[in-house]
Amino acid sequence: MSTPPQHRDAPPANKGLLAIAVVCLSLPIIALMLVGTYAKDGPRFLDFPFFIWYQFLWVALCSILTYTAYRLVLKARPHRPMNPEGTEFLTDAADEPNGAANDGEAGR
Amino acid sequence: MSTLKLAQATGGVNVVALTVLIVFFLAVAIAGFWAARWRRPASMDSLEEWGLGGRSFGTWVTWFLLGGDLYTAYTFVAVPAAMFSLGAVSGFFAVPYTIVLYPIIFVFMSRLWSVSHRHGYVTPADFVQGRSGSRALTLAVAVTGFLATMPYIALQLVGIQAVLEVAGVGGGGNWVAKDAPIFIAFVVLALYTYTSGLRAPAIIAFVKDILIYIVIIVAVIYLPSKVGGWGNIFNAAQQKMESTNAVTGKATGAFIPGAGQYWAYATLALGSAMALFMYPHSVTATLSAKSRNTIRKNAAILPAYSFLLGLLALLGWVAIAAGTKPIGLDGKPNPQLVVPQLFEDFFPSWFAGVAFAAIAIGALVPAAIMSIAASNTFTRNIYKAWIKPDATPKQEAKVSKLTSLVVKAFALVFVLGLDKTNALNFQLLGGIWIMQTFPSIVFYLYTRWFHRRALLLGWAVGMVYGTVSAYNVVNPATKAHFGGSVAEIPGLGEMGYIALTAFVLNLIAAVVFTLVFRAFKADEGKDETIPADFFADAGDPRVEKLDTSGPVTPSSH
Repeated sequence: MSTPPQHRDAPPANKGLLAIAVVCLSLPIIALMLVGTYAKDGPRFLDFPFFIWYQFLWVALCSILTYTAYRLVLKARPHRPMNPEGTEFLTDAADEPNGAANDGEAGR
Repeated sequence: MSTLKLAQATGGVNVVALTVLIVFFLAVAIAGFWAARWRRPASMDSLEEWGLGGRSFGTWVTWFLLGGDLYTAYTFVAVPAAMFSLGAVSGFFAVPYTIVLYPIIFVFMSRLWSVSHRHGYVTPADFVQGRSGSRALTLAVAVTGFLATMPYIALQLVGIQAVLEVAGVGGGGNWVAKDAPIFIAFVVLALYTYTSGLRAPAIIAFVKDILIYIVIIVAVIYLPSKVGGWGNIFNAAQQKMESTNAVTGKATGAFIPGAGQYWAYATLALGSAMALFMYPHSVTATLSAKSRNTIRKNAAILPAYSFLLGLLALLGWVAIAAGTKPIGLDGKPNPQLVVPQLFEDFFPSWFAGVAFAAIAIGALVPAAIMSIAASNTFTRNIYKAWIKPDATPKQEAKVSKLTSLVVKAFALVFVLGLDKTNALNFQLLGGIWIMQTFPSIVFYLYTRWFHRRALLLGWAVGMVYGTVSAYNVVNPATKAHFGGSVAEIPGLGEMGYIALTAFVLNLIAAVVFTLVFRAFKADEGKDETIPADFFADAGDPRVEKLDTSGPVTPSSH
């Protein structure tokens, strides 16, 4: 529980939100790796084979999911500015419920 | 005059289209030289300014720059060509490839941006040096990056050549008529890259990307109505792909991947996506962004280009329905001419000229960024690391600028002097090679569990395996080596992308050797980063900000 090493590490984060972001980012990869699920001609949409339009659909979904992950990550781990020496990040008391997540402030 | 005579065979020199192309080229050249004044820095004499545009690009500049960098002219020529001649597995995998890419960028590249911002890293090898403290591993990453980029630059020339050939120039018997246009284009490119650095492609990328969007959207709306609609297009493509190839006795290609091709399709997409951001030029464009979140936001908006690439791929099939005959000025069929030829056949000359300009300018942007990235890699990780450790930022910038000229000259010789297939073979190898730097770059973003020497040995295993298997792929029609990038995955019996198989072997070797080195308590090397570095953003202090001339030294902590 000593102060310096803790503030050299990753800033605190909401693990639950990060996990949801990871799911958002994994979905397009998993969906497109399962080639057998979409390598077929029908049903066609505006004459486009399923194989083609399904992958176009994932372009849009990937964009939406990545943007969702972006919003989630911003919320899950807000940026912590570093001290001028650049040796550790500063504690921001405002967005931390009573500094519960990092209790290294006491001695400083 | 010999040019004119030859050109008549393919419809003559398209004067209007050629004029439009030249006007665009001149406009872009002026913009490239003017770029040195854009957001004018106090001094251009450092890699931060010349090589990374001052790490100052916001969301939209980065969007255009990365879009212009990743979706190269060669892609625009080669993807529809693959669709036209071989079908979905070789061509359409580019779509899942450029989808899977963005979650990967989102996760890895924001961390790389942060640590590079803190420590002033310019190249991926800089990061590996700082994290591993191993000069040998850094050299391996740097040389791999350099070698993989060189043929990629050369291939951009192939894009320009394709356009010029369809416009009716560049195919004459004598050297001047044949190679002069490309030569002039590259000299002009080299000059404004020399003076403006990364700012030149950043400005030109706006022109390139806007032209490409206009051309592709017009093409996919207008062309299908001319050839009987999309239903007819897909029928024509299916018919061609399912017909028997006279030489090999097998089907021409894949309309939709068959059960035996699922692994190939998936591994090509995943492997290419993992490899793309290991290339120095992708990292250069990433690090030029002004904040950590610029990269993440871009991961969400860059898929717009993937949509475009998908449409472009389909133009290869539109050409099948249209009966496009991509015949080169030498009278031989050349599938790479298929999209320019399609445009020339169906569009008025002036619009064909716009389309040609889009492709030709599309070659200039990545060629500039790639040459800058290769030069930065040489300067930082070979010149400064091994030849002149006390080089000042000014000397670094000078070496890098000169190297960018050499790199382009080499690309020119490569394409004009040697057979084009050499460039293609090396490009194929480059993709396999660059993938082998993935463990050293990406694993180090998260952990130092892997021993630095084990990573080096893993890299060597991947390089050797990848090179040998690529050599052993024989083209069924021409019997030439380096016939493709797909081979049987050992122990699985499925066909897969060689780069990914080599990566898995690389990974296994790295794990095994790490355990061995750890058992012998081998030196772990010195890490100059702290975990918080990987979350830093713009405004956070740089580690060596007080010392701009000395070697990179971590502040004491």
